[in-house]
Amino acid sequence: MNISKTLIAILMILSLLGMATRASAQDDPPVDDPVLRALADELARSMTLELEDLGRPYFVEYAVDDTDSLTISASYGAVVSSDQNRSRRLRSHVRVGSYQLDNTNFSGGGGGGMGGRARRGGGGGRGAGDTALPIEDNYTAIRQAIWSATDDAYKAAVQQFTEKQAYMADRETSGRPDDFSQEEPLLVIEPRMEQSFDAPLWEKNLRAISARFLESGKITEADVDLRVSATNNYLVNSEGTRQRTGLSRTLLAVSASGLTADGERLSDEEQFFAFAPEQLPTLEELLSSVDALIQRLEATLDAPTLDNYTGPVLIDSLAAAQMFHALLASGLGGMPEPVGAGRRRAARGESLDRLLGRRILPRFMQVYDDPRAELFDGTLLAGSYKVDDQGVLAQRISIVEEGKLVGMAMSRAPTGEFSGSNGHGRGRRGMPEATAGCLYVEASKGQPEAALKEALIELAADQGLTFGIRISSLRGDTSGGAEEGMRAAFMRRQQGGGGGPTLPDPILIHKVFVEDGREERVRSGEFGDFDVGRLKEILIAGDSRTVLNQFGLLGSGVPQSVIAPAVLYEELDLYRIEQEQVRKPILEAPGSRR
Amino acid sequence: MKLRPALLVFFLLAAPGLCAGQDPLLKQAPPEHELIQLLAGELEYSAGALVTDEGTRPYYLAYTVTDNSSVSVQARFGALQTDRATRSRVLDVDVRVGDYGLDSSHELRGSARGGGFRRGAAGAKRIALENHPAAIRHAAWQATDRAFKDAVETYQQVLTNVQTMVEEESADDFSREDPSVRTEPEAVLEIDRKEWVRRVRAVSAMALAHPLIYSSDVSLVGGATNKYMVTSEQTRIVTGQKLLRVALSASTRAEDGMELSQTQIFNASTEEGLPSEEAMSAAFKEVIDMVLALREAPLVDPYTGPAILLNRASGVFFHEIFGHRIEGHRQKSVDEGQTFTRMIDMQILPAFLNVVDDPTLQRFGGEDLRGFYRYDDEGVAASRVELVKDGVLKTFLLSRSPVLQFNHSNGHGRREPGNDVVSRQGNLMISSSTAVSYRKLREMLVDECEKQNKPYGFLFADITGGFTSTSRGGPQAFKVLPVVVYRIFADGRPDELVRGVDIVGTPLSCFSKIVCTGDDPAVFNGSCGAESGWVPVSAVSPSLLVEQIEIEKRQRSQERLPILTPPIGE
Repeated sequence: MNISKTLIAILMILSLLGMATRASAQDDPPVDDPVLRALADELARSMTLELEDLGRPYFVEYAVDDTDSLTISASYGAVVSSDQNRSRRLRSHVRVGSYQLDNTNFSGGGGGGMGGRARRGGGGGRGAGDTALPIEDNYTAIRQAIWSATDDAYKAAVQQFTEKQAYMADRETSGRPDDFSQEEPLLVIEPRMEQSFDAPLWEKNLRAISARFLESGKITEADVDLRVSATNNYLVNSEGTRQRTGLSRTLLAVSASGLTADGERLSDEEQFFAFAPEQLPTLEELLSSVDALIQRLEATLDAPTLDNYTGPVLIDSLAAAQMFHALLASGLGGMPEPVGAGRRRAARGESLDRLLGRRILPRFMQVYDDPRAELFDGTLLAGSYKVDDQGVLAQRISIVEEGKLVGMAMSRAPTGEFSGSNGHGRGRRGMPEATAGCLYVEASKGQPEAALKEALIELAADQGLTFGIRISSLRGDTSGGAEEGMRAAFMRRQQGGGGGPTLPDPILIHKVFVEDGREERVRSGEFGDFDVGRLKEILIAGDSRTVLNQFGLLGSGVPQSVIAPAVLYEELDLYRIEQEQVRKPILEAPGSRR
Repeated sequence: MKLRPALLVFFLLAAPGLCAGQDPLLKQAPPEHELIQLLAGELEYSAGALVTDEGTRPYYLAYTVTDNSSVSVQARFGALQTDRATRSRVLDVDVRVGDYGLDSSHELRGSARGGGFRRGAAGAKRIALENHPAAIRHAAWQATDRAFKDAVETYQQVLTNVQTMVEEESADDFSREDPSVRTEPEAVLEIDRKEWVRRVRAVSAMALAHPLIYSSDVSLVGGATNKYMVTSEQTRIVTGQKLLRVALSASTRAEDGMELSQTQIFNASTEEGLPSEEAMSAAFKEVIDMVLALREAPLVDPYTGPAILLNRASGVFFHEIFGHRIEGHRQKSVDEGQTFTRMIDMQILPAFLNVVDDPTLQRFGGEDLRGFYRYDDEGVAASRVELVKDGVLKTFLLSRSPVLQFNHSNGHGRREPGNDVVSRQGNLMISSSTAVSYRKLREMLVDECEKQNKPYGFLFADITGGFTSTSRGGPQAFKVLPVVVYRIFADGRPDELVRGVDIVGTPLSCFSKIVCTGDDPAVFNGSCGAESGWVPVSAVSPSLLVEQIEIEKRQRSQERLPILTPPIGE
């Protein structure tokens, strides 16, 4: 891909958004793009869909992801897979009824919390209604596919609406928020993003990166995965929105694991995010990061285990960002309770709306979400975007003021507290959901790193301990051992009872000795009970912040960024992980044989 | 218990390629191939050095790398829908602990693991696409370690299990076979992608003229598969095959909402064997015409009476109803219905019927056979197996898992990479000693109708597939799904196309009702899914006259017709 083209594209976005015009439903797409034309023409026809007396749609929306992607995996110096793919996926979305009451937000009376996605026969779910479009610009063939998908979507919608009305007729359901908010239409047409991928170059680079693990006798599994994608996102709706925006994303993930002498499998990872692959660090820089990862993981594997600990804990900025992601970001999407279901749990954790107006952080901390900036302090933000997946301009929203939860990320599905979208409706696979984008956590009287460490030592001394604990990273969600690790953590929690979102296990743990401030690596700890309620116990925060880019489990979710400072706790519990041990390999690894 | 939906046969894909010399029996020098050398080196080391603290060693170790390249192009209404090429290499590691008599593959009876055979594949792994020694060794090492530990653990369970459970029979777990050594030239896919993109696009555009065709597809899928196998018994094999397929399909809905679809497939084992654009256009026209005709065809009520299964339909019928029941492992598992286990040397089919399974056959009647292979997935040479002679059951399809008195594999151990091998069909061939012309068969059908006082019988011209339950917990029943069915009237009226019927029955009673066969054997090429994954198969059969067949109404969607006219109809 051409970097200057990307920059031009980004500039175009800015300038176009600067003059983003309000469109009216009669506007024709201003450019001759067969996809856009097919979407608009078929949309106009779809508004006339009618089955007996069941009513026409009041809203129809089509989203198309036109994606070119390159995916390469390498392991131990060789390429394991390298695939290029072109796809065009259509998500068609039909609403019948009215903004106040429509077919969505209904879980069929049977519970299950799939509001807004309930489908006939109980089927469906995420990705339902996703249709493959032709990958070439054939106007008629594209329309044919849209027509067929819309027919299905409309029939499903009238069925849901009939069921929802029948359900509501026998029950007290007054005082519900509207089902859908009205928003201004948007007209943004960017130049179509065209890409070519240099697959041979990246195969070569991945070979070189993955070959680094051949030297390590301790690391037994290592994978290097690159995914580069360039997507032209289309959004067309019956309110007049016409959008075509280009977006490229590159994610290079290096994950590794090995066994400790006592048979515990430990993993670690490095992730590199960029929009265009050319924005990634140079090969030399990547190699030295991987060498650092190897060194780090080997040191962890050799480290002594942590004994059960209660005392002060300093959570470094990266680990803190992971903590805020797990406990805060996952619950910030405001979502209505669907008709026919009890209280709903958000897919990625419990919704925090029950805490609105309450203190969730210390008084000196603020949180806001602002997806508009692409950079923070020189680091690219994966969670950034200009327009959300419902065609609403991204907005800055205040989340926590003086420690109190005051705002939520909102999509076009209103809740009791918030009636409209604030540009946070995201998700290209199923129906978009309210999701945090770029979450900025800041402290008004942040302390420098050295001061935090000093405070940790003082607290430890004060509690009569010989050392305090510093944690510099938690288990990430793209690491190769992630699934295994999550399963293990889940099993442990099952045995110990408890529920709700908790923190991933810390990977990098250091004892900081009171005596002389020296540090010693330890491993195999997990947090005691640690939920969102404990965020307000933060004692001090740092003055510098680190970016965490997140992509959902194994890179499958909606990208988010969290920017957070280090935080110091006066007292946390850390336990030694007790888990079934893995037997060491029987044979020497090939690299270690003579 | 559950049906085994995995036992569906779809007619998919294409016939296998002949890439090698014609002389499978000639022993050759061990392959010089780089990958074979690499695998053999690692295997030798592992086989020698793998030992637990308690002294347990593997008695058998095998590495198989399946290297698959494929190209897929697909178009709909004149526009490209898919255009991609992929390549993958999968390493399967098979480790056995114990000995040939009793080993880690032994069925665990009364096991909480779902009973029956282990669905292990603990050792399957995607590996480097290039012959990079360090990377491949590392992958083999990882997979071997995992598979060996798994086998050791399972073997411990087996030892406990055989002491506590009653054994129904006590055949060995693994047969002793001579090692195979052979090198075939590697198969290389040579598809002119540009030309095929143009061609599928052009042919698919024919559907634009038919607004009632709601969906359609024209596609080419080509695959070249090279397998590299080394075992601790000194088997060293390189095989290369190609499977190519052109598929043309179209679908619509009848006024009552029933979904109707038709597909035609061309199979080939070489690029040259693929159809011309004219042949594809003609086939697509037939598909479209048939779908539109079905739309107008009447529904029929449940019925019992005489019927003809046309040759290709008979092939599917035999594959489902008969073929799956003579797979060797089904005679060993206590969960299986074992319809034929105790029937060796007994009459199970009418005396005029013979059945063989012959994977060594590459072509039949000018058509490439998809069930062709020279070595099975345990490295045993494929062989022609006489299963039924004059209606009498002679043996089973056998992998290296011995059954009853049958101590050797007959080269039918097959799998899709990533699964454990079980015995599977290859080319199932049905023949008859009392064949009559198709015309005569029709006359006999009419006679049968009159004899049974039925106004009509049925002709099943095409069957997409079906499913059957062979497990002991379920009914020993089957259902096959015909897609082209005619009513044949006893009074001489013209045949009438009908829709919405499935054939149901039980195998033993059904076989006993086969009256006569045609002299018109034809090939059905398909893919068969079962415990060991999807494998390419063929069935060759003449038309069958059955004096009584039972049909039931097909379950159908209540979906209404599309509300708006399709864009292509505007």
